[in-house]
Amino acid sequence: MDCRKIDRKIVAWLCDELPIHQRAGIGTHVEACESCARRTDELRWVLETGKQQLDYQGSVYSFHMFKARLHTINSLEEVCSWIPVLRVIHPLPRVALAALCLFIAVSAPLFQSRVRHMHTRLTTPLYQYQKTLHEWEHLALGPTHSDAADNDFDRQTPS
Amino acid sequence: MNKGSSDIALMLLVKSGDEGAFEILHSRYQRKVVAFFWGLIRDAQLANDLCQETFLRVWMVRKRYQATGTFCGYLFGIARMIWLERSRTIKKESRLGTPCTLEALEWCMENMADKYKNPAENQELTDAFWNALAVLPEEQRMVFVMRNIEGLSLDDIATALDCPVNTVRSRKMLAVNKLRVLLSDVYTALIGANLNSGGGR
Repeated sequence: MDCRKIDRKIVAWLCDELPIHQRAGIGTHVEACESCARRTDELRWVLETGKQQLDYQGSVYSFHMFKARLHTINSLEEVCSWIPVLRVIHPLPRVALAALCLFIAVSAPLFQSRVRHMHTRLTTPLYQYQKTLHEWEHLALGPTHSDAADNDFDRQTPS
Repeated sequence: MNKGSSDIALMLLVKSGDEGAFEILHSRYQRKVVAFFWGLIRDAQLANDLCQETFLRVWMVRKRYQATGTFCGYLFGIARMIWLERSRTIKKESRLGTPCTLEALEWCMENMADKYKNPAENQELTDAFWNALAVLPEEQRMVFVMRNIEGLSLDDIATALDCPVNTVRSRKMLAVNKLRVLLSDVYTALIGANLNSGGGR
């Protein structure tokens, strides 16, 4: 075996990765050849240095840290499990559902302001007072009192 | 299920959602996966983050697991994918400053006292080695780092890297030879001095 062939196999030989029948030939050659012996020493030193440097002895995260993240992911998975169900729904109901959501989103502020307006009208003391007065007048004067009074009354009430 | 169960048996339990089995696998392989990332980035905190991400990925894709090959190869295959996904971001973040999660910050606070440094005594050798390792091409570096993790066979590495065993062998050979060339000065300085002083062969 010449030095070039040895050179290709020497790392595998040092790491015991060669088949048994190839090991002996390399061992014999390395003992006899000075340059290969020097190279072998260097490679052995590189491998040993690598092993020493790459040996991690530091701290590692505990499992409870991992578990915290795992639970977050599990809960997300639960939520995401609904996505295929939603996909199964026919497109038409989906569009209808989206339209309804859009309608609610747009009309909610309008509806809210209307409700607030009505609430103010019904709870204002002046409105209550005028309404009572109006009822008394209605009782005292009878049904001859015109509907125009009602309209006037509505117009005067605060908004 | 017990602590002596095989990795594949445990992983099949994990597939059905068993967290206990996953904890056993986590305790078996956590340090090895951290060592893998540490060999690539030499940052203990980041290595732990990436390790956690690897195990999270294993959990998330557990339902797709198929018991072909060793679990070790499967796990390191995922670790490699995580590394390939994150390495670009990591390089960018290292320039800008890494954003820190609360958990990672707590861990740092707890472990500040024993902030890990390699026990190698010679700082010059340590620096030279890590600089030389950084010069190696990505795939060769991965093979070299993986080969130094205890219990990882050539077959496992081949599975993890998704390549034939002979490719792993040749990458390893190339990596070691390049390291030899890059570290030859340090070798001469350290070992040659011993030889000259009469300690040689």
